[in-house]
Amino acid sequence: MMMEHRRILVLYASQTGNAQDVAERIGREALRRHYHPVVLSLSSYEPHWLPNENMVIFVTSTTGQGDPPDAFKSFWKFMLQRSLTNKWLEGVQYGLFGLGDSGYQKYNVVAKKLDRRLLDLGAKFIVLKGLGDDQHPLGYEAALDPWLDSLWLALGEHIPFPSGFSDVETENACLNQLDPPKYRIIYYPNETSRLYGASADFHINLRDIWDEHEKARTMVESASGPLPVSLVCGSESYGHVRHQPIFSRVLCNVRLTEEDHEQDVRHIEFDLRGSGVQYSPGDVIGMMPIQNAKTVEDFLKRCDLDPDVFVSVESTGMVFPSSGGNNVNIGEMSPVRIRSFVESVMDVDSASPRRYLFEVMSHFAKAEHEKERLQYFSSPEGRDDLYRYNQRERRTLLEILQDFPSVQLPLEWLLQLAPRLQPRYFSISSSLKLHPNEAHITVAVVSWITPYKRKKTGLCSSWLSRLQPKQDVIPIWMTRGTFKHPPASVPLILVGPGTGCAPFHAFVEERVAIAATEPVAPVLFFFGCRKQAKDYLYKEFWLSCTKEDGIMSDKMGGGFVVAFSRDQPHKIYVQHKILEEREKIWNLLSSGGSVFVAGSANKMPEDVASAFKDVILREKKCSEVSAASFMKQFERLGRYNVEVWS
Amino acid sequence: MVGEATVILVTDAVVLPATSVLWALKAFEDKVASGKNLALVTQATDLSEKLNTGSSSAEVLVSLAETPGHHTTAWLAEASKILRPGGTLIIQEPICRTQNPPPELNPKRWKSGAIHTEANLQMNLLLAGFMHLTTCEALDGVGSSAIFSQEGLESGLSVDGSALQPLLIKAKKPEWETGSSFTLNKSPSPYVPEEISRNEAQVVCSSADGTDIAQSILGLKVNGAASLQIPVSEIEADELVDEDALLTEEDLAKPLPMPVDGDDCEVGKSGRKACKNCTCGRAELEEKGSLTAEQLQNPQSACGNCGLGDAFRCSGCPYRGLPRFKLGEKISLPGALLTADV
Repeated sequence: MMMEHRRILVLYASQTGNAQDVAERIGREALRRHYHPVVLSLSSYEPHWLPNENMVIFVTSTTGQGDPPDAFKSFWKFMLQRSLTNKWLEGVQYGLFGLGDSGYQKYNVVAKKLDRRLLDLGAKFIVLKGLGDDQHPLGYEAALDPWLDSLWLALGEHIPFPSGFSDVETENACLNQLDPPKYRIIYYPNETSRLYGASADFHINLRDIWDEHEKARTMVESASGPLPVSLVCGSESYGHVRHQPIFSRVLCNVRLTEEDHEQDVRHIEFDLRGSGVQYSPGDVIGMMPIQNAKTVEDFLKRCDLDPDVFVSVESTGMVFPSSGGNNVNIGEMSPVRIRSFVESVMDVDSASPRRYLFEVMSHFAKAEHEKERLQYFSSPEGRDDLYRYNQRERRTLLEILQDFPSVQLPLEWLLQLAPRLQPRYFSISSSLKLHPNEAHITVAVVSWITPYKRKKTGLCSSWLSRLQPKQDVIPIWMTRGTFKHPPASVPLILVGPGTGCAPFHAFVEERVAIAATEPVAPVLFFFGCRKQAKDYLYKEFWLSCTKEDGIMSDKMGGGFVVAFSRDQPHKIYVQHKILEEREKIWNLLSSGGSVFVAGSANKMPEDVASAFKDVILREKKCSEVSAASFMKQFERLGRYNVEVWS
Repeated sequence: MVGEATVILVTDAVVLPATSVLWALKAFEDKVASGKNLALVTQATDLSEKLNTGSSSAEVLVSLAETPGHHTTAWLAEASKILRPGGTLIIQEPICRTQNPPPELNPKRWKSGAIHTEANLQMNLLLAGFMHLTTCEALDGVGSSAIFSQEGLESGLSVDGSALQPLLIKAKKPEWETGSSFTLNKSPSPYVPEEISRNEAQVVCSSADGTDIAQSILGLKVNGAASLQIPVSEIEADELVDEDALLTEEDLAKPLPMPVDGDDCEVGKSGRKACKNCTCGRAELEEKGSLTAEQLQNPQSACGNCGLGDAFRCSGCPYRGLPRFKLGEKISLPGALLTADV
């Protein structure tokens, strides 16, 4: 084909959709510049086709623990084979952009490793790798924008322009074009609601609503790209995947912190009776937050949408001709009300949209001053002001639309540009052995004041805090967390300040139950909070385990150590306590113990790792290098585990 | 004689079945020169006296023990001395599968006075400085026999041996000796084999990082083509390059913390507030930013933009954070803004 040399393959490995957004942006901008982009998820690309490509752009995320996204694992394993030679990718040119978070130790390691490996295998890069950082005030776009500039320059040199186009004209044209949208909406004016039938049973309505929401979500997911593996599931996944949740009654919802303490931390219990679902300590509960009904109404009004109209959504396929597209026959999915899309797919009043929203909005602004302002926000000059208005204020889609009243976006654009409503996951803090048919969680309600003095709260945590015990029923599912509770014979060293104590509450409850009939190895638990009198979560429970022959008692070789950070002028954190207990730690490690660390990100995991390294240094009396290598080996053997959340 | 051996097979048993020797010959074919460089030592309880080898010379040391508790940290340290940097150690020892050995397995029965678990062995190996530990299937016929010898049966141990079972662990001695130095080379990577023509029959695996037993055991790998067709799920872990080795020191260094924009001081989760002794000018800005009651009743705007909302307001605007309003009309504060400035 004449235009084959203008083909650019864009491969992305996305965990939360960010890498996919970047890949699609690259695709859009490539189209405008008359290239032939093909945008695919790595999960739907066979690695052994790679040597045949001329130009490939990789976009990959790194998750918190330095792991690649699920879509990438299989591909990466293939790439690591020893038998691939250094000429396997000869002739392949590539660019690479990585998304990461420098708040974590293993910052962008997936991108770095991929870059090195591609070079080793004989590929050549046309631009230096770009590394996006969530910690940067402007997010990954701060690194993406200049990297894209250099990418287009480099591509212009490697792939000659088709005759008849000048690059200057094309660049100018790019700024003013409206791209074709990703989705197509099909309206069904004669369809009516069967949802609220004769039955007034509250419980069944809940299930029907959930089913309709799931249909909406699935429809949009399959129109967005290749079906994720998790959508294909059998009956054994009941209670373990979003598509087959347990409808669980809330049994209890108690505030654990003192009323006058600045943070509201909740202990919530869910009823699992009748579901037959089992879980293990270390597992997590997943749930979809419900958006405020009034907010949804406001949004529908603002966008002039009739909530009871039935529609179906499919991919236009026009933007990226060979992209994954529909794997599910749209004809099999019956249409869904617009209301369901708004409630379950679009995050309308919590997450902040990205810059592309403002760019598209500028094409639909009827008032001149609004159009100008939107164009300004989308330009490189306006980036800082956009940051102050949007990201830093956590401005929501509804708020933005209210601030630009002359803009009326069609439904397909709303669907494409609204942040996707995400499920939330919480570590289970109970053990089935002590609480059969129940699952408990420990939730800190997120709330803060923005720089412009507006009060904001977390969508899911504040919804959970308002759940009524004995009344509310919500769909939840259990899924594996990062941790797996080791056998009872393994000594444990646990570090869990704040809500990080949740999975360890489950570990310890499990051991307490087992201890009734068999011997168990001891547990050394490091907890931390701000003030002993205010946010000492689960105090009675921890203390009860330190008495007599309890698993955290000194007598049995265990321990319970608390760091109260604000009870004295200087800060005391768990890492300080860890160093104090180095002898006990060393003893437990030497008898086969494992370490688990959980809690909020920021500096805690790093400081704790550093403290453990110091313990090794002092107890083993070895060099820094040796201690570091020791820690690395421990991690590899699964004896040093970390699970953090932001 | 032992001093010249590249592969040393050592055991504390008196008798070693020939199958073990045959296995070693096959597994390390490329190193033993048809057996010339393979040394076999029996009845070796401790290494230093029996083997007067030069230190750091052997490429592979295989120790098949029939006594539980044989591989102590001290023993392993001796073994490390014998191996050259990057050399491979394989140990097999009967271990106790459960954390607490059942009473009938009295450790005192054995010379070592101890019984190891898998975790103990791992710990001992790590303490002796070994890396890249992997557990593999134990070799048959070694180690298990002694337990269930006459002695074992007399003491009442069960023949099926559910409590004690042999375990085989492979480990590597690190590439560096203390005090050694090496140049950093960026290319070509030692982990990628050079492409060879089909005419040369060679093992396609790197040699810079020492031997790889799995590679040898699995036989020769053909250059490239064959492995491409294997489904990914069937690729063994041993056939993969160590991905962590792809990162250099600078890769692992954290990026510099973002320079804090003067306008962006975050003072805790409650958002920005000017510090007590503010030098960046924010304090003045905040003073200017506070609204009077008069302004709330009858809002005016010189620039005309204040009423349009935050998207149009400039950074010094006193109405920042408030919803849109019409000039001259009283502003009603939404509930969210009525929180006290803590």
